[in-house]
Amino acid sequence: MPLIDVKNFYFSYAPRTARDTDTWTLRDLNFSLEAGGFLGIVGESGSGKSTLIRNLCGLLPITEGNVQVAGRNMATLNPREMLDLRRKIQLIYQNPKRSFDPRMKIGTSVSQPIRSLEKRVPPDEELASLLVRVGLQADYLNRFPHELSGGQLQRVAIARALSVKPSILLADEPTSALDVSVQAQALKLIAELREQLNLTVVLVSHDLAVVGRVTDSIIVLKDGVIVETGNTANVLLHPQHAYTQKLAAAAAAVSLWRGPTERATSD
Amino acid sequence: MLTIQNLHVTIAGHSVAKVESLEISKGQRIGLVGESGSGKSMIVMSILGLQPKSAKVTGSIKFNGVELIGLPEKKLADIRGGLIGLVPQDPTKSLNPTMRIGRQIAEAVSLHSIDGKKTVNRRVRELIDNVRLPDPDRIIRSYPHQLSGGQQQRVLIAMAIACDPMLLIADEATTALDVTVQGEILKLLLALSKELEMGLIFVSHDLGVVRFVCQNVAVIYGGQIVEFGPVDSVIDHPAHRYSDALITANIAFPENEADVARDLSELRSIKGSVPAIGEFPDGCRFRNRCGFAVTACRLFVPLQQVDNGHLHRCCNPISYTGKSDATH
Amino acid sequence: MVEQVLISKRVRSRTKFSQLPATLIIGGILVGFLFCVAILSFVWTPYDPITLNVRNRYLPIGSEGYLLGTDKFGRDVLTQIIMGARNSLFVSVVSTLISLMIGTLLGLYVAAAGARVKNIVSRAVDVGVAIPGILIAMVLATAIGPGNTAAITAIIIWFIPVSARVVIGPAVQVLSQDYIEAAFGYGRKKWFVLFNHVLPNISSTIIVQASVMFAAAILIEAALSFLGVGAQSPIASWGRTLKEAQPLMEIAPSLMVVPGLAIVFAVLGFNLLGDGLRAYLDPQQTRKR
Repeated sequence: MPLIDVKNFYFSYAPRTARDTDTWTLRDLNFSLEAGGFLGIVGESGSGKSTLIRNLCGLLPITEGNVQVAGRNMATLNPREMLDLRRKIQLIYQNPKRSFDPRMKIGTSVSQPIRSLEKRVPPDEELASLLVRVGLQADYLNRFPHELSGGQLQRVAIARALSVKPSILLADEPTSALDVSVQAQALKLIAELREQLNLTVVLVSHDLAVVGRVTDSIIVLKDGVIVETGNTANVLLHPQHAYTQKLAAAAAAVSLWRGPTERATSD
Repeated sequence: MLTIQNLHVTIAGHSVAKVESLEISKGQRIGLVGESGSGKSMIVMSILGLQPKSAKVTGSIKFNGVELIGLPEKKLADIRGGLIGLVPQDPTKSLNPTMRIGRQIAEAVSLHSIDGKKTVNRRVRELIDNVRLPDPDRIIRSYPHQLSGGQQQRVLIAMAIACDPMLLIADEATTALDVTVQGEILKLLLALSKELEMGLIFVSHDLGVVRFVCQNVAVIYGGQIVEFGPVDSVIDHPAHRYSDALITANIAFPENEADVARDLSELRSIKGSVPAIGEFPDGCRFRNRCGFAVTACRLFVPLQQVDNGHLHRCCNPISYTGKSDATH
Repeated sequence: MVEQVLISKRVRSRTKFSQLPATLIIGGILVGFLFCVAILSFVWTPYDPITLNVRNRYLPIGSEGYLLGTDKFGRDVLTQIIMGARNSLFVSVVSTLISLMIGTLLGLYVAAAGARVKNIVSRAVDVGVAIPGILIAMVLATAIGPGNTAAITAIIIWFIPVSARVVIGPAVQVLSQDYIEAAFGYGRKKWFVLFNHVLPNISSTIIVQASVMFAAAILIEAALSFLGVGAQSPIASWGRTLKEAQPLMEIAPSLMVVPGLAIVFAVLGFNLLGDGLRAYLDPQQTRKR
C-alpha cells in the first residue's frame, strides 16, 4: 500500500466559493508514492505546489477528496490522531533564516518537536548528535540563528525535522534561498539521510535541475492541475506534455553544459 | 564608452569592491557574476552613484569621457535614465502600486525631455511595442498588480530604455521570475541590445543566464574580479579556482540518461561561506575556502592574462595542458 | 538589495557600543529620579504633608527651610510635589500595567483569529480608541464618585483598545513567519505559539508602548485631578495642587509653576524614555532578523 495516496483531491482556501464558481487552487489531483520513494513536485509560481505540500502534512485542511497518508485518511483525523501523524511527517521550509525563532538558541529550536510531540525534554547529548549527523559541530547548540549562514541553518532545519524520526520528509524549495555554492550540500544531505534513515521524501522545487538530480519520480503542476507524472529521467528528457516541454527547454537554455569532470574541487 | 579604473569602494574602512580596470564599448554585453555578498551590486550601484551613503568611492568611472565619481547629484540624475538605464530586480517592489502603468512609463519618458503630451504618449506606445507587450491600450490602463511578473518586468525594461540610454544595467533582473518567463525576458534584453546598439551590464548569480545573454563575463568574489573573459572561454575553461568551484557547484539540467544517473557524490559545494565584510583574508580573498591554495596566495595577486582577452588572478590556476597543479 | 542589508547589519553591530541614544539617557534619568523620589516618600518627606502651618503660608521659593516655598495652608510645596509624584506614579503604573496585560491578550487573540473575528474586533478596537479618555473618566467619576479608583478605571478602559491595536500589527507580522508555521507543524497549539513565539518577538514594541502610555496616564491623572474628579484631599496630586494654585496666581505664582513643571518633566521623561527605547531596540531587531 502506498505511503501517500491521493485521489480526486481538490483544494481551495475558500471551499464554499470554489464549489459555486469552480475555482480551485488544486484540482482533481491523483498520485501516489510508495514507501522509500523520492518524489519531486515541479511547477512555477501559482502552480499550487507549496499549497499541496502543506496539505500533505496537515498544515492546510483537506475537505474534498481522499488523501491517505501512512494509511490514515487526512480528512477524518481527530486532533489526537493528527498529533500522532505529525510525528511521522515533517516539513522543511524554503527560507532557513525565517524558519527559526530569532530569540531562541539553536539547541532550543531543535528540541521543540521532541518537546511538543514526545512530551519530553531531550538531553543535550541527543541534540548534539542530531547536529553532528547533519555535519554541524555540537557547539552550534548555543548559537543564535543570526550567527549561522543560510546553508548551516538549512542543515539545522533538517536536523530539527528528523529529530522525531519521521518516516516522511517534505521539503518546500529547500535550496532556492541558498547560495549556489551550498545548494549541492543541502541536496546531498537530504539524499544521504534518506538512504540512512529509510525516508520517503517529497521535494518541491521550481528548479528542474535540482529535481532532476535527486528524485526518482516527478509530478508537473500547472495552475493546480497535474499535467504530467512519471519517472524523473523520462519526464525531463522526453517530456510529453507541451508545458513540460516548455519548462524543460527553458531550463536547458540557461543550464551550464559541462560533461563529467575529472577535476576535483574543494568540498 | 564606459571605463572603470581603480574603482575602490569602502564602507567603515573595509574594502567592499575593488576593480582595477573594466571597459564596456558600445553594444557590448558584459555579465557580472557572483554570489550574494560578492560585491557585484555595489560595483554597479557605484556607477550610478546609488551606493549607500556610508560607502566611500574612489577611482575613476568615465562615461563617454565624463567622470562620474564626484559628479554633483543633479548631473548624475541627468545621466541616470537618460544615458544609463537601470532595470531593478523585483518588479513588485519597483513599480508604484497606486499608479497606472501608462502614467509610470510616461513619467520615465518625460524625465529627460520636455516633449508635449502627444509625443510622450506616442513614445509610451512605442516602448510597449519595443518590449513586445501586446494590447497597449490595456497595458496603459492597468495597475501593476493586474499584470503578471513577466509583464511587469517588461514594463520596467520599457521604463529603463525610455530615453534611449547608451548603457543598460540589469541588476538580477530575472531572478524573481519563473524559468519560462525568464527565458523570454533574456531574449528581449538580447534583442534590444542588438537593435538599439545598447551596452548591457547584466548582474546575476547565475552563470547559465549570463552565458545566454552576454559576450563577456566577470566573475566577482570579495568585491574583486577574479576572472574575466569571453563567456564560453570562462565557463568551459575556467582558470581561477573559484570560477571552477562555482561552475562545478552548479546543479545542471540533465542532458541525457547518463546525467540523471550520475552519482550524487559528484555534487560539489564550496566549503565554508562567503565571509562578512572585513573578514576576508589578505592576499587572495578565496584562499581560505580553496582546496588548492599555495603560499603565494597570501600575497596580493594582480590580474594576469591567460589567453587573448581572458584574465584571472589565481596563483595556482587550472592549466589545460595536462593535469591540474599540485594541491597544498 | 541583499548586500546592502548585510553591510548595514554588520556595520551597525560594530558601532553598537559607541553611544546609547541621548533620549534614552535623559529619559532614563528623569524617570529614574521620579521613581526614586516616589519610593523615598514612603519613608521620609521634608515635612509632614498634612499638618497645616498657616503662619508660614505663601513663603516664596528659596525661603529658609522651605526649598520651594509654602502654599496657602503653609504646607511645604516640595513635600506636596513629592507626594504628588507618588500618586501620579501609582495611578499610571497600575492603570498602564493592567491595561497592557488585558490589551496584549486581546491583541494576540485578534492577530491569530480568523478573518471575520479580526474584522469585527478590529473595528470595535478602533471605535474604542476614538472615545476620549477624559470623557470616560468624567462619566465614571459621576457614577462611582471621584478619586483614584475612578481615574485608574477610566484609564484602563481607554488604554485597553490602544494597547490591543499596537499589538495586533506586529503580532500579525510575526505570525506570518515560517517558524510559526513550523511550530504548528510539530504540534504546538495556538496559545502556546502566541505566548512563547509571538510575545517575545514583539516585546520591544510593547515596552516602547508602555513608556508612552505611562506618560499619557500621568497627564490624564493630572487632568482629572485638575477637574476635580481625581484624587481628593488630603491625598496630594499635582493636578489638584495646580488647580488650587490657580486663583492665587497674583499672590504666589510659583505655586502654579512648580506643579506644572513637575507634570511637564514627568511626561517628558517617559516620552523621551519611550523614544530612546525605540531607537535603541529597533536596530537590534533588524539585526536579529
